[in-house]
Amino acid sequence: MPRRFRINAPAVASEIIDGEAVIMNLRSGAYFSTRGSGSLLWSWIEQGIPEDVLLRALCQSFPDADGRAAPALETFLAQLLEHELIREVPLQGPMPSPEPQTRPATGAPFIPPVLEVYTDMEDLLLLDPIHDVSEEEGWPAPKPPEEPVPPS
Amino acid sequence: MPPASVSVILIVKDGEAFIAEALQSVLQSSVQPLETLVIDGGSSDRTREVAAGFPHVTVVPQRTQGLTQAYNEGIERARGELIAFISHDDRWLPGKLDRQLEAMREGPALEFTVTLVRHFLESGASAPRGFRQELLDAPVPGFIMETLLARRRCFEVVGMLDPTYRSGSDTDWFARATDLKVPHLLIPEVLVEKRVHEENASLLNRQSNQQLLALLRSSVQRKRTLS
Repeated sequence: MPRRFRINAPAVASEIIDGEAVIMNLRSGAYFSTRGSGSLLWSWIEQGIPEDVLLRALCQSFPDADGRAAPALETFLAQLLEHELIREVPLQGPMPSPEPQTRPATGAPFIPPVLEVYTDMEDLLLLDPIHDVSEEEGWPAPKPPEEPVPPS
Repeated sequence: MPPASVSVILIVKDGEAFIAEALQSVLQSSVQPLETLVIDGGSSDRTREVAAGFPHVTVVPQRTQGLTQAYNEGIERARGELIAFISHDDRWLPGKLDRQLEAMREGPALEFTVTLVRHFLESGASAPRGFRQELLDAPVPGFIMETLLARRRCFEVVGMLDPTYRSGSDTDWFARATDLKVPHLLIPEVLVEKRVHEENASLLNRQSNQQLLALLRSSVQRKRTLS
């Protein structure tokens, strides 16, 4: 069963700048920069693309990737999960997009995705008193109320 | 050795409600500032009159626009060997300057010190939208202008605050200092209290996520260049 992921907003925010994804985790105070095919994958993950489609799209974009694409994708996803930048979500529900906007194969060589991790500014990022508020989830995400126990 | 001279820079616009408390708190160290520059961004209330009643205070009408430029104007005018900062709605705790000066005497290589900061909710006020409530529970490291005591030359090494960041330019300044490995110390004591209220400009004008990500991107590029 392929996995699907969601960005851990609002604690995690990101932007693609100059072709690299810059990602920050405001709960841990760590921030990240991607290299290689990382920003492409990150933009697809943001769209909620399932893992099997990610792999297919990666292979279409980089025909020279051969057998390197699958382990590279698996490692990258494991790193994103380890740093709590994404979380796994159930596959049920409407698929946001069956296929990502794959870029046409340009002949550029496949460069495995790399996630660079920086932890030297935790004190700066954890202090920041006000963050953009997600209309969907708010900040900080309130604890959901306990389900009332139905009378027996 | 005579004590180092300190310029204090206070940024304000329409701050008559709290500025007296802030200026009073500056005087609660045995070391008195050489000068307190009140950079006034065009107050229409009694801010200037209140400020002028305190010792060592010079009220400076701001020539430029915005918080960042107000800080830069203050830094350019400051005559002290060291520069400290306070917002009109914050208060320093007694001995703040003494404690930081002592740390910098004991560590002569230190270019700046910051302290812990405690946020407190003004009586009857509510926190601005998006404020992280957990900050009211415990003190946090204050890498912000209001805790900073920096040698003046530090602003030559790190540079001035960058006005291209519409807000939150202090985070960018501390990021640049970190990347340049400028020696500094976080004094693990609460020496500044930051008042949380609906109109707190230094809280409301914090950077958007977009600006924060842009300055982190700049930091990544600096690190790659410096390494």
